[in-house]
Amino acid sequence: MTVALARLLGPVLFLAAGWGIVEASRALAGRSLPVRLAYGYVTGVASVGLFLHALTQIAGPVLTRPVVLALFASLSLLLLVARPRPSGKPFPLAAIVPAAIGAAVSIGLFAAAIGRPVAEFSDSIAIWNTKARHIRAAKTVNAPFIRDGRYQMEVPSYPALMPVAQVAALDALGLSDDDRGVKPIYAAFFPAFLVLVFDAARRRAGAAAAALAATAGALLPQISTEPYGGACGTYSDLPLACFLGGGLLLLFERRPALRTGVLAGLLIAAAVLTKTEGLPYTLLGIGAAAAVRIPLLRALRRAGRPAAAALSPLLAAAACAALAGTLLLWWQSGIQDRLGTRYAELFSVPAALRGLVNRAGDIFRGIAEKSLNKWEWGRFWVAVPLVVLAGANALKSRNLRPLLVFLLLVPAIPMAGYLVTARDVLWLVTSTWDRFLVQTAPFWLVLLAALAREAWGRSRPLRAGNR
Amino acid sequence: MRLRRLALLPLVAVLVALLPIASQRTRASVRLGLVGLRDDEVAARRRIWGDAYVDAVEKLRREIPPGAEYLIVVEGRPGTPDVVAYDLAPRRPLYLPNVFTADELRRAGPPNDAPPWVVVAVRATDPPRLYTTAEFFGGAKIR
Repeated sequence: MTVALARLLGPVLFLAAGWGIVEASRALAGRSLPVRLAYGYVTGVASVGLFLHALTQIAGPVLTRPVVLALFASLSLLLLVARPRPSGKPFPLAAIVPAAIGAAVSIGLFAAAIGRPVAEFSDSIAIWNTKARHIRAAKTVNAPFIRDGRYQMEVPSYPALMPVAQVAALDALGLSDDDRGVKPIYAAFFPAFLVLVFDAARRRAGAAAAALAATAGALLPQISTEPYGGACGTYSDLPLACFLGGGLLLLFERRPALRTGVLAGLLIAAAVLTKTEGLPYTLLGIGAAAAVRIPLLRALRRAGRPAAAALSPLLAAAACAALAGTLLLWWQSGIQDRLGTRYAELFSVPAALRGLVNRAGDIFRGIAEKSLNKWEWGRFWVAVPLVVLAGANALKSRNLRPLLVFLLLVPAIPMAGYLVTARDVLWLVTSTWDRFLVQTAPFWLVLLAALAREAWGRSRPLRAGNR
Repeated sequence: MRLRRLALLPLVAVLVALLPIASQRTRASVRLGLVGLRDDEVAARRRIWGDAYVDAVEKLRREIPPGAEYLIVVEGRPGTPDVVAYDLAPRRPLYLPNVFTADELRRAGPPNDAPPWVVVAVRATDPPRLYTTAEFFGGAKIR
């Protein structure tokens, strides 16, 4: 029983580490305690994973218990310096419904996590946990098993931040390679995800609409209780959603402070090192944030005011993403590919056009099949178009523009893969479309909140980041 | 305005309809979690993969030292060696291009510097079999 409870301490370690960073940086000053805690957890996994990934990539096999303990301890000490306080803001009544549902589902996730190993053949086993075990044995992300083409491993060049975080928690707590020491880390992303969605949606659409979006996030099975990409397994999709959503939604706010931009950059950097999709999503997100700031920069220039302050958060985030991208490409350059598919090498415009002609039917069929699967999404995607129609006026809001640009363009990334893949396209779509939706869930849930608010009838203009 | 508000009704109905799924899955998760709470690692895996599979994997773990190399193939299709390879990590299966099944490996013959062990995985919950390389290529004598 003691060991079982010790497995729950993994998320606590990350929470303490990340909460210290959030409070000390004052990047989220003025936000409520649950929001700072949620960002704290996500930031904890991001910062520990990033640091240990970079350290072992540069310094070799130093992923040892003393190093991990020292890292957790030093980051947690920031809490003593920052002395976090409740914001004093009242708990929004509208949050009661998603909070209650989210808490109940989370209890189930944590119970299953500490009592039951990964129970099905999946990428959890074939990719993520296998990679973690070899990293732990080699004490570095440059494990020979990952780099050397002599060894049989699926997609060895998939980014390794989450496996590194897993190893950090297991080493710090002195736990064996038991899956049950790892699953709580993934389960803890679920409540964090709900709070991030609620916070971002509330700032753009008000508490009631945010509650609707967070309730959807809490109830949609593919996000919560499915093991293939949801919080119940050890895929990296929900962590990617939290890193990317947490980072980019901060950056998409009207006028983020520089320190907020740095925190967003930290989370975005973690997204780059979490999944292959992380890098293109990040480039797209930063591009969307930059594009919608062009009119603002023009206005500043006309007014004779310096543009540096308006651009600095974006530049800080872009610098973090560039560093992480460099780290990733450097790490991948040492890996001999085996069973994986390098989509960047397969992609060309003629190949994509050929794919469009030959595969459009299969792609559409696969997407429809997955989106309408009632055990994964209920009838959610049938109900959404009505909300879009009723709330379409919200799409004109200038403050939703970066979010909208991102959401309109981001499906091009999986589509590019579907159009050129050498694998069976229907199989690929049905294996990955759900996970794409999980990865981008913070964005479409926040947009859903804005549309719902518009449909209900709003009393004030939508202004992201004005609360 | 009211008409537009009605557009939210189907969404709310969909979410209400998802409540029983969430409730049922949460109760099942709590039950399953509590059952395995006191299990050690091996006992927890036995509940999922069965005694025969876990006993075979434990035997393979004793025979093949951590970090050592081995060959792994599947017997027949469909089959996947990934669950077995995961359970044997950090032991390292060698990559054999275009060789997936036991028959294909026998036809291809032993690779250069072949490690001393060949593991044959079957279906996910069937026990994997261990051969020495000489046994595997000389005829199937199960250890």
